[in-house]
Amino acid sequence: MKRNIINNCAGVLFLLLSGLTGFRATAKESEKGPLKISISYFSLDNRLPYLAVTAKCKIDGKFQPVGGASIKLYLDKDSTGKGIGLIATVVTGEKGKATADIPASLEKIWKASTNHTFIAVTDKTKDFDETNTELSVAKARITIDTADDKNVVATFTEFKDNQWVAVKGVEIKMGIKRLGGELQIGEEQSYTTDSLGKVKGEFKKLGMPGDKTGNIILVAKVEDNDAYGSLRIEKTVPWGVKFTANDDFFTRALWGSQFHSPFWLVFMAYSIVIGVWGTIIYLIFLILKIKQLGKEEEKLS
Amino acid sequence: MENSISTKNDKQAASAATFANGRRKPDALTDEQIISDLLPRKFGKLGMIWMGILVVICMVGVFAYFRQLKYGLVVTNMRDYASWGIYISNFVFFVAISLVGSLITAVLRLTGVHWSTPLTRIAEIIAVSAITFAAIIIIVDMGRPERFYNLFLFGRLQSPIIWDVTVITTYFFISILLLYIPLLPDMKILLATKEKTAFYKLYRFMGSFWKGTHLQFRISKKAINILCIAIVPVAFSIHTVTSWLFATTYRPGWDSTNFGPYFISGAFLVGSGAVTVAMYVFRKYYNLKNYITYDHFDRMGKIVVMLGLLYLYFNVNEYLIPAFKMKKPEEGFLDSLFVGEFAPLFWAAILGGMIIPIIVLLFKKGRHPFPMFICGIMIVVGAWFKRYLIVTPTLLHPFLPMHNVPASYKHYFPSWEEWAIAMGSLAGALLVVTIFARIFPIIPIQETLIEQHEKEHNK
Repeated sequence: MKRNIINNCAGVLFLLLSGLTGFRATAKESEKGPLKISISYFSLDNRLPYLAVTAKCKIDGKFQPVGGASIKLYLDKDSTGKGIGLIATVVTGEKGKATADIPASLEKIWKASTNHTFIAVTDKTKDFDETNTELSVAKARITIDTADDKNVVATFTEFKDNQWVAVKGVEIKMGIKRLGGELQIGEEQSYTTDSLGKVKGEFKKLGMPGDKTGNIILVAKVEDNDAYGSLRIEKTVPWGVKFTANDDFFTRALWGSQFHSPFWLVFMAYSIVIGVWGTIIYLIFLILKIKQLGKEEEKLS
Repeated sequence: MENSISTKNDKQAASAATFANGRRKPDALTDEQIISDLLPRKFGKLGMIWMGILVVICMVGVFAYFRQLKYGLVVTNMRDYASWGIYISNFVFFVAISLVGSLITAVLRLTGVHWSTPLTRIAEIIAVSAITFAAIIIIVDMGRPERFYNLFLFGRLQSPIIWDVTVITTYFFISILLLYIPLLPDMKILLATKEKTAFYKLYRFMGSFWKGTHLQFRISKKAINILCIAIVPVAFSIHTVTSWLFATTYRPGWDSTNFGPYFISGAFLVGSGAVTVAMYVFRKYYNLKNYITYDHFDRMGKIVVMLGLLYLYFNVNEYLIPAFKMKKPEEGFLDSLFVGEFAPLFWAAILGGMIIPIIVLLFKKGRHPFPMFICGIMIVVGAWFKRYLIVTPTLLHPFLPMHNVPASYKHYFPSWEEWAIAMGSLAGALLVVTIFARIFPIIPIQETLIEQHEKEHNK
């Protein structure tokens, strides 16, 4: 008995201690780290680029996205103080991400230089201190050419001294655009530009389904390059197999859509329904007949 | 020849003699006595308490459903895997129990069995209330019940769900007719004897036209015969189609060609169990010992044994054969039933819901009213849990492993709202039976009188 009481007391004490320790551990773990902002630069089809910013912080030792963070984005360091280089003020979503296009009003500044710096600034809030993050990129472009022998050539150039200059040693990926991503055109996962800024890949995915006219979309892209950011270009080529829509969905089958049931099922189902409900209606008719007989009997009596 | 008939009659007479001392058959009863005994009567104190309990349970269920409508299906513990919980188990249970109407009324009537006459109305009202609540509970299971009409607008004829909706509606109407038409002759008696009651207008509305003419009887008999023939395939369809809701889905435990007969045999068993319980309750509390006799319990007991053995046979097929092969995808499911988290419930349902009642009812004393009542309850409760075991363990054992899901998705135990709604629906079904017995004769008066007269005439 005494031993039981001691055991129980020890158990309760253990639970209390472990509970308190657990609470302290939880309290410690839920401390937030500083806000971390990252900027990514994107250029699609060599048009005016856009920026993507990500806000995150460490919670429980893991980076977690920070939603609702207000971030001011500027083009070039010099303009921040003057307030004329403001690209946009963005607020991050649930996944801690936001995007902003470079507005037409900044075209002059954009064209004035070959290299630009993007600055992301956040103000001090009750959760986080102010931050200042920068990303420098050089203006560059990527082009894609094809030949009849189904070779794909991508060229990477940088804008330097008022002209486009080939860049050597840039890693380029070439692929075919599909629904869920890109399929590489050949066996190489990526290619590195030569002294002419070119890479050449052989298109080996013969028999690839294309659209109704047999077109497929080729893609050449540079991803997260330290100097140039992310660039991507697409080109439509008639190298695919013409796609003919399978209209089985609209034929009469067990997997068919509404009003496309097989005839045998329609015949069987409606025969049964008509047979059974016809019987029910006949039975109701018999009840009405009984009722009629009752009324006649009442009149007679 | 004559000797053999006389021997048979002697045996029957001897058998009848065993029902002496409160086990009397209605042979010695006058018409007035029969009418007086079988007319519906006001609830006593016990009846009022019973009604009160049922109403309270129903109200709690309604409140829980209100919460479900307000907050959505999140108030239940059904999640991505166990997306069918006790609502669907309850639905299958109700569909099963409703089959008894076709067994007692139609099958026995068509095969020329007359001893079941006092049980026909009990069976039919159980069928009607059960099928009504089966339809209700399926709507309860829907997250957005106001979109139910879409089933009719966009339903595909190829889908077993459409078949189920069609066949449930049909069975409901046929059961209503099978309840109503044999009730017509009793209306005349009710109108003659219950003039000052609150239900007089209802009786007038329902059956004032019944005059008991020869032609009316002839048409009514014809209608009942048609109904008895029609209800059997419809009843078989209703439970076969319900079984196909499972069997047409490729999952461990449901991938079976036996599901139709397996469900039907189980349905007949639970339906008979429910009738046995109702027989005992009505006999005891409505003082119907002269009409629901030991003989009825004895015969029903034999039917229950036969149906129990049949259902047990299908269970052996359903579980033993997959267990013998023990295919990898089914291993987890079968383990959970035989030795895992569902094992206590599984073995309780097999032993308590089938094997023990079968053994008890094999003995003559086991077929006496009270043991029959206990066995009936065991069968019904066992059958309810059996439906739960058909639905839930399969859903918790999908072919693809459960990865990166919250721990709560891997187990299922109903929330209080689910319990309240399920129990509310069961109480609702009992309430329908109770109210029916308050308004209408639970044993057909006219048929009892006719049989009595026939017996006297044969003497």
